[in-house]
Amino acid sequence: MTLDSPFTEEQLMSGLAEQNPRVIDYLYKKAGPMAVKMIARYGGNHADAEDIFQESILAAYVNIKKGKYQPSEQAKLTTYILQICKFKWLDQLKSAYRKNTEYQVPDTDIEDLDPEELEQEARIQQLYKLIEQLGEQCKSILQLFYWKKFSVEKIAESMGLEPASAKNQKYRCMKRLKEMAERHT
Amino acid sequence: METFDKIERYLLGQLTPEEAGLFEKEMEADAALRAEVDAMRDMILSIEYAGLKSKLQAYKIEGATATSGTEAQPQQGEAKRIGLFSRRIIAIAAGLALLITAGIFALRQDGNDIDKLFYADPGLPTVMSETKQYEFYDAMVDYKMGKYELALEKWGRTAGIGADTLAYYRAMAMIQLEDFAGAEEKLRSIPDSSSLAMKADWYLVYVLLQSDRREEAKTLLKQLPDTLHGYDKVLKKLR
Repeated sequence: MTLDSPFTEEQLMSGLAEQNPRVIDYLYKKAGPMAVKMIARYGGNHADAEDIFQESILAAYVNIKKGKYQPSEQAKLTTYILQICKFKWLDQLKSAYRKNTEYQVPDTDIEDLDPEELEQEARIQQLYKLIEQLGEQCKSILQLFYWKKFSVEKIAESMGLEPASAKNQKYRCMKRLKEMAERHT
Repeated sequence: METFDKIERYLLGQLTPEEAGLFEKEMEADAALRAEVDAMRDMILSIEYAGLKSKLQAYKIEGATATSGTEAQPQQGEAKRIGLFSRRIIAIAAGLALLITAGIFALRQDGNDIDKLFYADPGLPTVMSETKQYEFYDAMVDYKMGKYELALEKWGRTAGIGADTLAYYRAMAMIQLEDFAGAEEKLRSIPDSSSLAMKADWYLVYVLLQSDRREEAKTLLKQLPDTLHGYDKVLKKLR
C-alpha cells in the first residue's frame, strides 16, 4: 500500500482477477486519465483511449489469471496496464499507416511490452468471439454458472428447467464451444 | 461427461486436496487429459472474460484533460454518470447483511439526460444457500438479467421477505419498464424507518423528474443529505 493507493499491489492483482468493482474503479481513476494523455500524444481522442484502456484491462486480467503477470512494488499493475495501452494503441496506429508508409514508433516514457505477453489474450479473445456465436440460452447458462457462480439448481429454477436438464445443457454448450474452438485452431 | 465433471470440479476448486492430488498425478501421466484440462481452463476464462467485458461497459475514464504533458492525477472531475452513493454510503444505507456486488449501470441504457445522473440499482447478490427466501432471489436473478417483467411477476407473489425490500426492488424493476406511476407508489410505501428509505427517496426524485414534476423533485431532494454522490449535479439540473 502507498500513500496514494488504498490497495497493495497484491490486492490490486487479486482484485482484478476477482473482478472486484472497487479495484476496477480504482484502476479507471488512477490509470485511466494517464492512458487518455498518452494516447492523446499520439493523435488519439478520448473515445480511442476508452476503447484501448478497456482492452488493456481485459488483457491484464487474462495475464493475471494465466499467471503471466506477477506483482511487485517496482512493476505496478497500473504501469503494466499503461504498457499494454501503449502497445495496443501503437499497434493500431501502425496497422493504419502501414498501407502508405513505413511508420516510426514514437518514443514514450513508458517501456515497451513484449508482444508475446499478449498471446494468451488472443486465444481468449478468439474463444470470446465463439461464445458470442452460441445461442442465447447457452450463453446465459455458461455465464450464470462459470461467471456468476450460480448453482445448477438455481439456474434450472430461474430458467424453468429440471436441474438434470440444466446440467446437461451446460455440458452440451461447453462441448459445442470446444468443438468450435478446435475448428478454429 | 464423467471426465468433464471431474475436470470442471478440479478447475473450480471443488475437489478435496486428496482428490486434486490424485487428479494431478493422473494428468502428469496423461497428455490428452492435460490438453483437455487446458482447453476447459481457457473456455472458463473466456466466459469470465466475457463477463468482465460486459461489466466494464459501465466504467468510464473520468476527469482527464488531454492537453498537458504533466503527470495525470486521479480525480473525480466531471463524471459522465454520477453515482447514487459512494460505495461506502451504499454499504451503510443499505443496512442489509447482504453486500451489493454487481456492476453499476446508468439507470436506463438508452435514456435521457436525467438517466445519466442516476445509477441503476445493481440488485442484490443471489445467495445460493438461501432457501428461505428462494423466490425473492430467484426473481433477483431475472432482474439482474434484465428480465424485469418476469422479476416483477415473481416478486408479486413473493412472501417471507421484508415488505420494504420487496417494494423497493419492485420499484426498481418498474423504473426499468418506465412504469413511473407504479414505481412511485411502491417507493412511497417504504416507511422512513426502513434502511432503504434514503435510497427510495433518491429514486423517487428520479421518478418525479421523469414525470416532469420538478418542484416536487426539488423539495424532496432538499430533504436528502447533500453528501450523496451526485447530489449537486441533480440539484444543478433542477435549477
